Amino acid sequence: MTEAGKSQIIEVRDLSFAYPSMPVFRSFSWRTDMPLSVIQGPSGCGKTTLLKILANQLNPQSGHIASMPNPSRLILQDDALFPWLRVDGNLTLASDWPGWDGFQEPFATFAALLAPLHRRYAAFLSFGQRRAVELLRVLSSNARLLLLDEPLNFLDSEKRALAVQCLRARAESGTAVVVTTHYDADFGLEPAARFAFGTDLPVSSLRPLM
Amino acid sequence: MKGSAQEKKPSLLLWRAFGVAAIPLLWWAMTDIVGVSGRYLPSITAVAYAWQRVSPPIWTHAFFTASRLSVGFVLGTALGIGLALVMARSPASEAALIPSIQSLRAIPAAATVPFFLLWFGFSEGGRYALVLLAVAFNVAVAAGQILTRHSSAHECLFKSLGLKAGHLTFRYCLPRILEDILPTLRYSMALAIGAVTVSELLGSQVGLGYLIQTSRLTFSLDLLFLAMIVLGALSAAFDLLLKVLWGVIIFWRRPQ
Repeated sequence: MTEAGKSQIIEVRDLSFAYPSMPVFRSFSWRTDMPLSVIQGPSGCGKTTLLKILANQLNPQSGHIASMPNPSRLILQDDALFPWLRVDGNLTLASDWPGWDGFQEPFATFAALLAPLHRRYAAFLSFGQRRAVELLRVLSSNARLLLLDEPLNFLDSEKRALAVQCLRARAESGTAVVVTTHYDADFGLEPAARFAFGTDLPVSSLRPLM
Repeated sequence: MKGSAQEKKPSLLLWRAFGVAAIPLLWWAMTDIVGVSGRYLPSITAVAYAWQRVSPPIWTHAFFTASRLSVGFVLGTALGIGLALVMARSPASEAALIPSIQSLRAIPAAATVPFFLLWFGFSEGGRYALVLLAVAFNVAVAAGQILTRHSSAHECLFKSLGLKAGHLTFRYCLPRILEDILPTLRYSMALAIGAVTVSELLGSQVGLGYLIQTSRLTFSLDLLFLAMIVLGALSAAFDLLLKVLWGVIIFWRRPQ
């Protein structure tokens, strides 16, 4: 692992990315050393695209990632659980799943909320339960960078509060966490950790919310 | 309320009854009103009579055809899906298998009958094999195609967890194939019915294909019609069975 990979600094320089006939970024640069960053912006402004680029799942047409913790784990808004597998089967897809008893607080409380569902097929869970299972899978990973696209969607207030607590705990323990969310108030972050995509279409820009 | 389920139901039932009765009605009109000769189109009563005089009974013929169809179709589907799972394991296995599969898929069942006669004689094995091959390669290509399409969330999951989709044979590939393969299976069932009929035309002593062959030799147009009607009913029944069975297998798609 490179020295850059060990740090929590995320830095991208001069990124340009376009889908066919739709530019998203042009010469876009961003640097943050905040352990937990929240990205906000209107739908379609490129938040998910940015997360995919940060996760190395999309290649920018130009520019580069100067610093990025790795390995990373990305979850999108769409549910990625296999509906034909039970909750247990979905969790054990991740080789670093520690088992139901392998958690410390506050993760243990979050896991305890989902443990009664462990034999249920994912297809028969509610949207909120599915989202919570997916979050538990990503929270339990050994990744040093978590990229989460609207992780709090569909969660009830109890699970949402716990999820925020867990994400903050991961960030405090050295994992860089980048979140896009409409529930930014739940995180109670200082302005320096909040970034907004500009709506200066057709090309988006990102700036700290001050 | 306009368009409500209660209002639609009787009219739908009426249309369905019309759909079932239309062909017999047309048939009856052609023979009994228009007066088309029995040499070209036997009357409904003549076909009903053929039903009574055929020996062994028509059910015996239907049973043998249905069992050959079932065995060949199940084995063919299993082989096709198995080939797709193997191809999904690595680009090399796909590259090695796909040319042969594509070539074999294009050969019509009727053209392969001489091979099966030479290899299997008049045994049941040859008939099963003919149906199996009519189904297997078609299923293999379609199943392979299904495994090239992943949802963006699953694509992201595989990359994120460092997994290869093709290596998750039972946890991902098989359920994904089962999810989307039904239209191909329904089409393959139609091919299989053609194949089993062809397999019974030669060297068979029982079955609907045998009955068709016999009726041709004895100029029994009524018997030929009877065999084809039963074949059609068999096709409809197997199609319905497939749909019902798939509703059970794909349990995760059932509304809760």
